[in-house]
Amino acid sequence: MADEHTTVSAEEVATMLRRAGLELNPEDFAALIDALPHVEAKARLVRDRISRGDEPASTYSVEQVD
Amino acid sequence: MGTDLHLLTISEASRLIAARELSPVELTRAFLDRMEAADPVLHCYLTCTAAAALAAAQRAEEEIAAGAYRGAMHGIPYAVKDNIDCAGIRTTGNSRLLVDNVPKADAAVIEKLEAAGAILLGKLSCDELAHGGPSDDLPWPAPRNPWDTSRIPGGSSSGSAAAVAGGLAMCALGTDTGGSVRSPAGYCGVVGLKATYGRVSRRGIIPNSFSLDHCGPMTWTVADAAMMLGAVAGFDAGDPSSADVPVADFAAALSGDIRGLRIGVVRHFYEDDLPASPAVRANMEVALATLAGLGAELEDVRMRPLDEYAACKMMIQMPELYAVFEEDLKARPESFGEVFRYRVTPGALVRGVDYVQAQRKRRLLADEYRDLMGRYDALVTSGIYGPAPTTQRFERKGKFTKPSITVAFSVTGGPAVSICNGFTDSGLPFAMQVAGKAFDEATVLRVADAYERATPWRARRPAVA
Repeated sequence: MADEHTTVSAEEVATMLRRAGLELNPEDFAALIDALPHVEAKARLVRDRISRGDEPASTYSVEQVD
Repeated sequence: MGTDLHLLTISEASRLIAARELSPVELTRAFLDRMEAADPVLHCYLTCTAAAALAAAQRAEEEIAAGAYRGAMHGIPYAVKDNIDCAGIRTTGNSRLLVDNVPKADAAVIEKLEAAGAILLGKLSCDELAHGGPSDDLPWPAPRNPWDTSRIPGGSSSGSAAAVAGGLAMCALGTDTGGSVRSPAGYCGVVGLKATYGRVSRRGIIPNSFSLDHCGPMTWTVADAAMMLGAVAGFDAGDPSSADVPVADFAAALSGDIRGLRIGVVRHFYEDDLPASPAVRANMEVALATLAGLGAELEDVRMRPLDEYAACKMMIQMPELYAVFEEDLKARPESFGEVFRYRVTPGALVRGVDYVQAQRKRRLLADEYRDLMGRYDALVTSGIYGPAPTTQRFERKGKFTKPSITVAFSVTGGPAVSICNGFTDSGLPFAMQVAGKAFDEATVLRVADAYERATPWRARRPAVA
């Protein structure tokens, strides 16, 4: 997944998939390339709105909240 | 009894059964007949357990005749989404991957409904593994919307919503990770309740996202949802997310009186964040006026934009879902449908740090929600952006590009119910959500029930079959 400074090329996606051990047929690879910009945008939206001083990660449960 | 037993609600049927004026066997037969007539059109069921249902109904009838009435769900026919394990019954998630999967044990919710004496009619269709969306490459044809069979029922609990709306089950269970109970409930004009995260055990349910999965009732009325929730709620040590919180008498909370309740209206979800159709917006104004007329104190409130909840949900859900099916996606990708593969594969590339940041973000959003709910008894917002789309208009990319209007309450974990709040000129349901404080399903249901009682929408049924 790209960070805010980079755009991932199809070749780089192929490399990442190999590292993940996942082989895709050409149709699924094209579909992934189509979907990734949307997913990257979501990742950026999460990253951009959270900072070092915010709550630490924790296992979520409503009991803890309430 | 008359010929329309399949139109009875749980409230009505349970009164008759308790008084021994209605036979559970007769009631079960009515639903099996209805299935035979309408399911070839609606495609709600993947598996019908007719023989076992009739045997269970016979047992219920004998128990009740012997004075051993167990309560409101005794003798009530129900069906469940096919991602919920039932011992000895094929449980597939509508995926070729699991087409021969026969669990040895019941899910916790099935154990509870069996203990309550309810009658299982069968397993209901769904989007593949509660995530895929309708597509032609799944083992069974996609369910149709009973109000207009050229339209989708929504998903992922598509069969559950269509079955309840079409009178093919008195009630059903669905699962909801980002809105999969509430969205199809909205499109099909039924009640869909996502209780608080941890309220209903997920043990024995095929996982989608451990952090976000819920299981909940889908019924014709709010009172029925309260009864069914009462039967399935409660602590279960077998689900690590299960909350050890007392279970209220949800049905007893339905007083019909909401005078003085403070209700926040989350208008920006459907007016600004992803503007709903003019008809939805106009209809919401009428619904809000009804709530005000019942004596509730309404005030506009702001939450974060829907996009923020949707982004948080996606960055948690995608890697969790991918993790569940990684081994199979590598070894046998052809076992999954094209839409599921499209939606799950990006999960392989989500960075660990993005997943962690999303979990941190979820904590912040949940804390904000808790603070907001310190000022209100309930929130209301639309349940849909527009009426159910036609089958041709389904977009696989929509999962990535359009935030679901249900997602905020998935991420924050609070209870939320979708109810019918009217119909378009062409007879398709509108829907409204009522949400509330963690573990205060009673107030959410009280508001929804008061609205339902004050409006005529439950008198209208689809004309299918």
